Amino acid sequence: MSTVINEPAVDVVCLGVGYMSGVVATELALQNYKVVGITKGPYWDYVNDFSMTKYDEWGVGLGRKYDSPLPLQTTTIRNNSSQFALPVRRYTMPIQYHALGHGVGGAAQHYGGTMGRQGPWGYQMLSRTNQDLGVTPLTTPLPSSINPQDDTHDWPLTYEQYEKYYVAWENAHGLCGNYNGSPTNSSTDQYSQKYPWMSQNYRLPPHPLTPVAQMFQTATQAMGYNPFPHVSSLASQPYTNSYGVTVNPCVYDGYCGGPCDYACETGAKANAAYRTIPAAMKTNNFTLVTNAYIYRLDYDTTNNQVTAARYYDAQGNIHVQPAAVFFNGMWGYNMIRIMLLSGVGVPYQYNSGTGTGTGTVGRGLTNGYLPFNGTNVSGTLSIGGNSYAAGNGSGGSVDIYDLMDDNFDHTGQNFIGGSQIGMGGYLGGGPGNITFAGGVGGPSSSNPNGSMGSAFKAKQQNKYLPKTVGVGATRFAPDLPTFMNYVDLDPHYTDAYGDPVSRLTYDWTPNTYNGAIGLVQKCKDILTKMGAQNITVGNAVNPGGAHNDWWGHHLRGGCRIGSDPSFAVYSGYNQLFLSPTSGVNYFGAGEITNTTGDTVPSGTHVAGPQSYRAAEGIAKYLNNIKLGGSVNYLAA
Amino acid sequence: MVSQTRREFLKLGLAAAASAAAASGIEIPLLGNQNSNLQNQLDSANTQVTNLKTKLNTVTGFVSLNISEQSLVEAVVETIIPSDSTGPGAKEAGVIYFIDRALAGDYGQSANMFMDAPHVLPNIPAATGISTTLMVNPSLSWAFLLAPGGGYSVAGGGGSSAPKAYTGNNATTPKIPITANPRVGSGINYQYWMNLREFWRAGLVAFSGTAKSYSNKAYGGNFETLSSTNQLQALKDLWSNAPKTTYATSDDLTGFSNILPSDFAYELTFMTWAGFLMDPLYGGNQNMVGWDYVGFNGVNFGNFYGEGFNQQTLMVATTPTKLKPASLAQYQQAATGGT
Amino acid sequence: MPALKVPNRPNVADIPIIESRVPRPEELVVLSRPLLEATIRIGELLRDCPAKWAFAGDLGEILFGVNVEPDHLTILTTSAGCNEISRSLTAFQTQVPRIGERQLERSAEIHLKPLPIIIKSYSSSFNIEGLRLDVHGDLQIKVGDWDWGDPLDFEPEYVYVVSVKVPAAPLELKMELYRGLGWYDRVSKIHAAMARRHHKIV
Repeated sequence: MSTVINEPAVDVVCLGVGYMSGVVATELALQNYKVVGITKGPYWDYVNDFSMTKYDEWGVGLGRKYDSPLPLQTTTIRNNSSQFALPVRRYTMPIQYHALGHGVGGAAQHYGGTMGRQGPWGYQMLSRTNQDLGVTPLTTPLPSSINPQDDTHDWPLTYEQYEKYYVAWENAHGLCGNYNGSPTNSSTDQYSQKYPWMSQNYRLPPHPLTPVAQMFQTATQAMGYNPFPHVSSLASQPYTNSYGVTVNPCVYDGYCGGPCDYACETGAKANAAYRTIPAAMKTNNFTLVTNAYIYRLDYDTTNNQVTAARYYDAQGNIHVQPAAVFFNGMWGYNMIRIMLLSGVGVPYQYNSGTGTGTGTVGRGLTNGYLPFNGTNVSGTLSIGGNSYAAGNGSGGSVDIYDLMDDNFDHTGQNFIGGSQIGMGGYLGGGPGNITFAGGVGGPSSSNPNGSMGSAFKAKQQNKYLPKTVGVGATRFAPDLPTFMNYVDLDPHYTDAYGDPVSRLTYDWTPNTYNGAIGLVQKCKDILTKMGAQNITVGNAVNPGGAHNDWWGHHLRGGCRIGSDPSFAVYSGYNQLFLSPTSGVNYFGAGEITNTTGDTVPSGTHVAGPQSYRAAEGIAKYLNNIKLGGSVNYLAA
Repeated sequence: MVSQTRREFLKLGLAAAASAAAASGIEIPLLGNQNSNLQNQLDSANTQVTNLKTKLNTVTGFVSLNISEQSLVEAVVETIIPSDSTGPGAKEAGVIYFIDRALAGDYGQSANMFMDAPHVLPNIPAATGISTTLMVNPSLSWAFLLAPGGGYSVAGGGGSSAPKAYTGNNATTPKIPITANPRVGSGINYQYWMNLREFWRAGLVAFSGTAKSYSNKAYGGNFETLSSTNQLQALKDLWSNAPKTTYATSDDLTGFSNILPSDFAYELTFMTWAGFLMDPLYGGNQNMVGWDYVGFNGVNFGNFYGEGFNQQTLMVATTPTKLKPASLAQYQQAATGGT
Repeated sequence: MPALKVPNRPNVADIPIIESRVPRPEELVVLSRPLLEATIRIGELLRDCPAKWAFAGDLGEILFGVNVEPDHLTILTTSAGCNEISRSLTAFQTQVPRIGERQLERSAEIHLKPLPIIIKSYSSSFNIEGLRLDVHGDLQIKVGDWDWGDPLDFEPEYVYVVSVKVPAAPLELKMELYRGLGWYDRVSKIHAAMARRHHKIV
């Protein structure tokens, strides 16, 4: 029998201590609330833990020694509900290198550092599409020609309403970039503030552009597009953030994002551990509990309150941690899993016969990352460079948003939205010795002997010293929420403690592939304008032509926010609904709470404003409790 | 840092001092001439350490591969990355030692893998005439969710609590409906109950060395004895799943009945290239010949040997600059004050 | 590495637990809110100041991540700069620019006997929302009975502080200064900050 330890009650418990909990914990600790943050991993001190050992593709990049151990917990994957879901047994290269994060900072310890705001259209995807199509009411689901079993909904807030929270996030994390749409970083040039508009600029200047990025910028400007440097969360300059935490700039060692995803040994890569949590700890109102595995939330069904979080420490003792409010900052499927295990919220259940579903927790899973395979446009430029470890995971390139969202005419197209298009990232964003852009493989048309023998070996000679560079784009339109993609508990596999792991039922929606096909000509035009040679359209993939076999590292949706509790788990303040007018003392934020996503690569930035909304909602809730208000207060 | 007398430093104009110090990394300031003796001792100690390290760099023993595995793996890796006119190959890089150490360590132990049952093999057809029924029982208590307001519902969209039978693929029974076509190398592809050391053991034996092994049956002898053309072809055969995993007659079946040959080919190829290109600390890429071949820098960010380059220019260059690579061990030694 | 103990299981699970020490608050470098706001305020007000100036003192160090706890702000500049700044910050001025000398609280720790340190500058003071700002023009240092040092001169480095970009005294300069004064505790604090900022080697 394990010892049970009852911890003293606090105001707020944060589950997980990554990006989201970092913000919530800091905001509330600064308001003199007592906060406890619980994480299954350690506290990383980047100087002591990373600086001597991170330059190690085998141990760090492939072995994932700084990430969540799979024997502790994994997830299972299947494409549809008639299938048996297989567990992810292994972190492998090249396809599924993205590991679940571990410890303070979570997955942001090892990601590429890309950020980018979601545009106004992304927040009102359904109503604006219906408006364009002349469909009423504006809440009508999308036709199955665009998205079968559609479950797309608008967000509870518009971009305009989220804008100030983006600002707060950017002030805290020190993002680098120019005004969206402005290559000259001016708020008043003809390009600036086009899309999406910004009330203030990014805090830090962008990283130096590569020659390829400059060619892309020149070409797209000439074509009437609005290029601007890629938004990065890797500090380009010394920075002191809005919490007084000092940030070291990137040293461009090139062991960063890209194929291998490394932790940052100077703290330049934005992360709760180096941006928010230090300020929380400095207040003396925050307690950090590490190596602690949360396995249940105690839920009082009479009053509809979460009363405590339960976790195992590393010796196997059980701790019961009560609080007035609970914030779930756990990553992706883990947020859903703990709710399903604990009976918090209404579980989603899919009915394959009718092609619909009821309930909310686990509903509407989309994959924010791009499918591995799609109709691709490519060419070569006759300039070279250094593609060994030089640069970082998110700088150097230039983007346009003109072929995204509803920024272009979709007449005659069978997809909605579009894609961010960018080129010119630093060639070396992380050693890819084992990746070879696709990994080792068997015989194919390009490599008759596969990755074996003298001919293939010769292709590897000096491959990090290219004299020409390839450029290209596989431009997918957004993956849309459906009834048939969801998260639930797996009936066959458990974690190390004997509780079921999560199960992802997911396959790519047609919109992604139709967008890739639909944007081919426009991508070709850009490459032509850049002067690329050998422009080819290859690898044509139609919807259903490829199936998902990885869990993806940007799961968006599955535990969504919305104004309507019939599909949404959380309200506009990221608080769990009981009904449209009452809620639970439980909040959550993360990419998994995104209602939809356009294809700005990092839904993390889209989750950012939600963490500030959650912090605001929690403060309102606690204030309401102080004034003797109802425990089922839904923050408004 | 050349020292001045204390009295004079204030007069120097600290801008000069500041710019000189800025160029260096971390320094331990020496106190001038009276410590040249100490410096000499340090130099001598560093030389001895370097010599010792050179000796240790020659790794010639095995801790995991048995004798027959050693000769087979040696031949395999040298087929995958041959030593040829373009440069050194798996032999010079010591790829076999990387593989040997990895098999003995976390990789072989599948230490960071999820190894629980049930093991449903996605791509292995069941042998004809054999029905392997995998029974999975969803009626465990946690498979039922506590619904708000009390009562239970079954996880995953309804269904009964009766055990479910999954059977293998054969001529009369449709294929197990599992996730379609996990790609080789995908994290859901490896579903074997064996850890990777056992997987290699089974795969190597299935590939060559016994009468029923693939190389012996298809090409007439152990892999090491084949012509180099046949060696490459035999490996390609693994990728194309030529060795039978089911049998129509009792003679068809090779040792690959429980292992998909292409999965084994993946491990062989992937680990060979890893042995060529991972940090020398792990036993391969000896003397960094692999990195030298592909033009990789290791931990040399432009100035490790005093070349005077910096990342900021290297990352926006339009012509490549080859850097002599540096290893993690060299980096750690340099960072902690060794030579 | 200690292995995870899973309750009610006969064997210890073979999952590594990475020991971690959670830092104490005093090990974390965080600039207090009042000083942060004052720094931003001054940065805005002095945005167009033509003279060469830079944040210095403990504030200048914490902006680069040194673990100190400033309780006031310091600016180093030239004498002309001191006048410029006084013009820009008139509303907050508490002491008009004048030449002054004072002995520092802490002595130089070079010889067996501590030596007094005197600084001389053309300086002024301000009160920004309760916080003291000292502006020193052409600061000179005298240790014991040595000659006066030359006026401190350096090229500032820039740090972005939320919405402003401000100049600050480079850490290398402070390190040399502290070495010369024998304040090795301060040297190692700067050393630690510089270590966190770079590769371990160039």
